[in-house]
Amino acid sequence: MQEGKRPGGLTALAVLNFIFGGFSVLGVLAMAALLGIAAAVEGQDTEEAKKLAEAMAEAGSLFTVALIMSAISAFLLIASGVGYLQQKKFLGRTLGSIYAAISILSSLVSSALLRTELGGGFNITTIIGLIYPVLTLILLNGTFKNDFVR
Amino acid sequence: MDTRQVSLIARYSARYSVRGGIGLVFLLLSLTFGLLVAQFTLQPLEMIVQQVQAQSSKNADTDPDELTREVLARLVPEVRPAVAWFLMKPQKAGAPPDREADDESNRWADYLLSDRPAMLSAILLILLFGWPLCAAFGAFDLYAGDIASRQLRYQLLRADRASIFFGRLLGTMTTFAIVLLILGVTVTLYMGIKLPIYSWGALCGWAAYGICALLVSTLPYVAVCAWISSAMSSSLASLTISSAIIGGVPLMAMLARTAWEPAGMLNYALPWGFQTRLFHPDASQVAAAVGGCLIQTALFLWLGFKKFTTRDL
Repeated sequence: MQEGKRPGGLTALAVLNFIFGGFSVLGVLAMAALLGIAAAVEGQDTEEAKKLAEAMAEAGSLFTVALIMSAISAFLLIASGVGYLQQKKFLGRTLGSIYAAISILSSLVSSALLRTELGGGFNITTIIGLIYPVLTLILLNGTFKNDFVR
Repeated sequence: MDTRQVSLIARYSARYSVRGGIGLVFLLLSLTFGLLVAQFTLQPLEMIVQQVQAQSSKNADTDPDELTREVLARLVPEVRPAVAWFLMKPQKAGAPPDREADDESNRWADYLLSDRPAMLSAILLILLFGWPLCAAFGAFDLYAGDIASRQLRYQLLRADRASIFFGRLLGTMTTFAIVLLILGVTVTLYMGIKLPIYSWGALCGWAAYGICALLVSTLPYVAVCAWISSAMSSSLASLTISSAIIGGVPLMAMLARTAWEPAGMLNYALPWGFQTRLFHPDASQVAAAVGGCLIQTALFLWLGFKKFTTRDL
């Protein structure tokens, strides 16, 4: 494989990583804002504040886990995207594979542990969510295996 | 044309299609589209079953599969008239109702909804009308990109034009077959495990038939893309024109039909007008639809081949 000759598929994968990473960042910001609102209204005597406090007490830890997972995913997506463009072994292939493995695992765990009303349960949406990480894992360790030359 | 070269180019093209960005985007797009269609079809049924189970304490102890069967038995007669209307031949405006066409479409709807797994039939019918647009994304760059970058000149030192033309086409069709197979297997497995209301035999048989029918109906669209791609020196122009033709034919036929009835025949310029007949209960209708697809494929391939072998590469 010629050094510096990046296949079009790897560039496309990097662009997709930036797009999905960007969406993850937006998700993290939205979740952080919601946590901030919950903290700000805590102790207030309004009906909405009580409802929000109840919801946070019920699903607060789950929410925090989701926030952390999203933040990790966003970081891994963007960092590995840069790695794909620079064809770096660790930054590209390794971090990309870690993202894919974490994403597959968290999809399977959340579908097994969460109630259906909270987005759990195995359904077609779970499979759609698995398409990109599974493809990433296969492509990085198969088709593009020898393209990470730096 | 050298068959060994055709086979080599086809294998290379199928194997390395995802190495190019377009192949990867096609793979993601087509898999996501296919699974979204399955989701939109299956999710309402799953949700109704869950609601029925949650609302009635009597249903809480009922076997979920039995409940799904009951819900489906009530749903099918509700959607049957809509499916029959969709399958019916377009009638002339103001003409008296055609009893024969009505009976035929009712029999056809019964075949799809009662004799075959209804949910899978619904997924296949929606895919039949959405897949051609995915095909445009997968096949628009068969030759145009390499014609634009003059890369084909290097291949022409070792292979003749006919081998390149048919080799790449065969490779693309192989990729399409693999993607359809992955989709079919995923949806069949999901339905078999999650909604075990149909027997595995019925599901697998109908899914296999559906994949073959989709593949046959894809052939003319890929041939159109091959023709346009061989005539263009720009990938973007090829994508735009291919998509506009494939998506524009049914739209133009519908608009033209409102102005002048016979103009609706424009729909038959591509398989849009007859491709549903691939799922007809009569073998003769299926054979006619397959024949139509193959004739159109041959025609568009001939046009594409003629252009590819005579143009400046």
